[in-house]
Amino acid sequence: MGRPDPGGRPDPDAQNDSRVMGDSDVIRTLGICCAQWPAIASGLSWSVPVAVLRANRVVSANSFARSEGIVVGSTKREAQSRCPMVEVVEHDETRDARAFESIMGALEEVAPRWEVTEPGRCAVPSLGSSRYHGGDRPLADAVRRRILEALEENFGDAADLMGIGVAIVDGPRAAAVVAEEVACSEREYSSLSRAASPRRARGVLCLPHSGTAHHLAPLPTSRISAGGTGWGKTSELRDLVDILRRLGLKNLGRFAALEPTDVLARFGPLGRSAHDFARGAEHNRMVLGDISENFSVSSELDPPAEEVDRAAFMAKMLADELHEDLSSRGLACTRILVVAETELGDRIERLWRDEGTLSPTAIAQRARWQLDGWLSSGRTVSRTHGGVSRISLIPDQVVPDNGRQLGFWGESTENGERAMKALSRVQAMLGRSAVVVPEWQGGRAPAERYRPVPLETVELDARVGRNDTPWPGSLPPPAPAIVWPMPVSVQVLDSADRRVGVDGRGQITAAPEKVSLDGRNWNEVKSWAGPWCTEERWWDPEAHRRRARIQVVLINKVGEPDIEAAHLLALESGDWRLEASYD
Amino acid sequence: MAVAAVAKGNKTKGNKTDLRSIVEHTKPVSLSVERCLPVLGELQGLFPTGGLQRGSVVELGGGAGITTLAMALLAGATKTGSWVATIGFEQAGGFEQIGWEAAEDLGVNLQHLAAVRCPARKWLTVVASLVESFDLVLCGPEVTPSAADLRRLRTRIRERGSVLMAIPHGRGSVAASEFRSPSSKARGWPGSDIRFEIQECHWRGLGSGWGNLGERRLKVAVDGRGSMNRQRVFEIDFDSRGRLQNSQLQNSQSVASSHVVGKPAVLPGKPAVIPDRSDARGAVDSVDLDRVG
Repeated sequence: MGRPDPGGRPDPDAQNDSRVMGDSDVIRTLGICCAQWPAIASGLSWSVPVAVLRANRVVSANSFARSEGIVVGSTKREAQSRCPMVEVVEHDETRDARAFESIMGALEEVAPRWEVTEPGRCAVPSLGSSRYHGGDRPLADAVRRRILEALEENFGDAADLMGIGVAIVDGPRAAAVVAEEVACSEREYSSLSRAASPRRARGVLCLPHSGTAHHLAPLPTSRISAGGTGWGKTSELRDLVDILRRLGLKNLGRFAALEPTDVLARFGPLGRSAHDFARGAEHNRMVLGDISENFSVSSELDPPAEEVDRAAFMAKMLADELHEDLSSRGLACTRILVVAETELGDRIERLWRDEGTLSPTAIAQRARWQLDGWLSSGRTVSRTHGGVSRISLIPDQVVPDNGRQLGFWGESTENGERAMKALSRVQAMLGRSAVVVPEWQGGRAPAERYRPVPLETVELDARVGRNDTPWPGSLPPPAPAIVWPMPVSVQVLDSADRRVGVDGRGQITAAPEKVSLDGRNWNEVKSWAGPWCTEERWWDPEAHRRRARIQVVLINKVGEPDIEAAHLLALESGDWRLEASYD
Repeated sequence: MAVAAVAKGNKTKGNKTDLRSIVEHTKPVSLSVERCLPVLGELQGLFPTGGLQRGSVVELGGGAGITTLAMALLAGATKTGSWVATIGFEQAGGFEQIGWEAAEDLGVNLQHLAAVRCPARKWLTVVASLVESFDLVLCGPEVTPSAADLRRLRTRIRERGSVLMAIPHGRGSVAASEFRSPSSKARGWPGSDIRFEIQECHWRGLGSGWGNLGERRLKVAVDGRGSMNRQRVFEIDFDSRGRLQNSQLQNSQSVASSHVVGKPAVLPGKPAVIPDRSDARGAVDSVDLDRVG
């Protein structure tokens, strides 16, 4: 362990000089983690349990919901069974980012140039600021205080003051991980007396200089993939953790004890950066001199953009340009500064980090979040006057691109890139919502199982895949090839031309004989099955739905007697509707 | 391919022929196979070239089963990295969605699929820009081209080597008074290179009040230009999970006349290939047409 006093460190000037490589070169970093940011960003009061869902899994829950036993990762059904009055909200990254922007504005008053890894997590090199505030602890306390104030100011009721962690340690990645640890354990620590853990007040942890490795050593290796999404491709990190576990390296201390050269030889650059993190020896990975001048791209907007869409579209084009320039030199960008200038000369900038090397889509998405936060939120109107007149992207950290494995024939990625270009052209023509991609969500009704999401709101490779866990009450396969999102009413009659219904016991009143869409042309029912009744949300008088579904095979005797068309019909509050077609 | 040629050559002709055939296969021209987008193995028999010829327009017609057939045709290419865009499937005010789950069951890689919703007056520009970069574009029933539009589009498709698949108007729209039965054949895509026409669609598994939809058999007529100018009729089977099972060629002469509903699909002199019960992954396999009528 280093010196007990975190304030007294070796000559700070030596550390500021990033060109000197060595263990003294670690970046002292303050990390912030708002563990349940999506729940806070949902804007719902902390006095109701809130769970934020993505693809039917809880991704975030506020402290009330967690105290009711809802855990991140559980299914919607599980969450509702543990806490029936839970307020369920769909996850929206843009909403998270927009909300986080308001916190960032407040934090800038404490220290400049925060880098954001994802909404809810950010970091800043703490050396200068902690000198200004008189040490690490005063700085961390000031930061935490400012966050809590900003949360109360901006979210009022929704501000869930639990689960905010601030940590000052060696290295940005370690800061993210330790801050997360602090945020998650805040509840337990708050009940302990402060004396028990002198460096640890509520939600704040300052490790002494070069004490990071010691702190990380007992933690499980799986923490490599913690600390948010910005530290490399999630799947690759998970693979790395898996290998380490199988090699018997159960905690970070044992991983850190390996020789750096061996780690690099066995696990490549990804393993190397994880190893640096475990040793508490992350140094500045900047490899080039003054890169910002070489690579930065910018563009004027004339007339200035008042709406986010136009500015974001410009950012996308710039991102493409930047990406092309960098990749032609075999470089990739891990940290980027997005700068927007308004017509009255205001300048608003934000630093974004993504170790998975920022793709053009990722850059554009971050620019959009940032602009969204500025242009849409009420608070920033007072700060920015007029529209955005200039956007610049300045790569702040550039590393050699370790390359991507192309598809076996070198084609699949290229195809994808071409497709993306065409889609952004289409979006320019028709608007942002014109292009959607499928994302698995799961559900009972055929229309609920895959949902369309706008192209830009998802990272295409990171989409949630389909899982074939059973959905009670769903229909057996085959799945219908056409799903009518706005069901069309149909008429279903029995042999005596009476309307067919379903009684309270779930029995059909008569066998359906013919079906028509318009009441003039009738199709004969060749065979049918059902009814399958579902009763959804019976506890909620407003959302309660009672439905009975039948499958029918229809023949049009006049037109095409050989063609049997199968459909799924649903009866709800006395009306039959065409829900899906097995076309 | 070259190895096969050698093996064959040894039996029949001399070494020169072998060499020639090897040269034939290794010379740096694009073979027709390379100018094809792959289709699923089960459907290769439908195409003389073994896949969807790049630069062609494929029209799908007939009754129920079109969407499934279209998805099955797309599946092979999406698996090998091609991207597909779907356009013109929106319902008035909403979104006539392709059942993505069904598409995935058929083998479509949804990671390589994007759906575009487009107002009718802009579709030509949008499709033109899509075919530039997508290997496959599937046009739904809401896209209604004029002959002049089509000509321009075809030039671009041929130039870019993409494939346009079209489900013509009059089938997908619920506004049509019938359920998916062809209302007007004249409103198709004139001059398409390949035409698929669904002639029959039979379901199994549903009784009167019992069971649930299971296996399906489609009878599809294929014709087109060039090597496909002779109409051939295929039977395509899908299993009870909506997966493609196999396709068999039927005799082309007997398309319209000899088939009688209620008789097994066995043609005089040439028994239809009934899939082996053992390969049916535990499900009931071939469609028993006796029960259907």
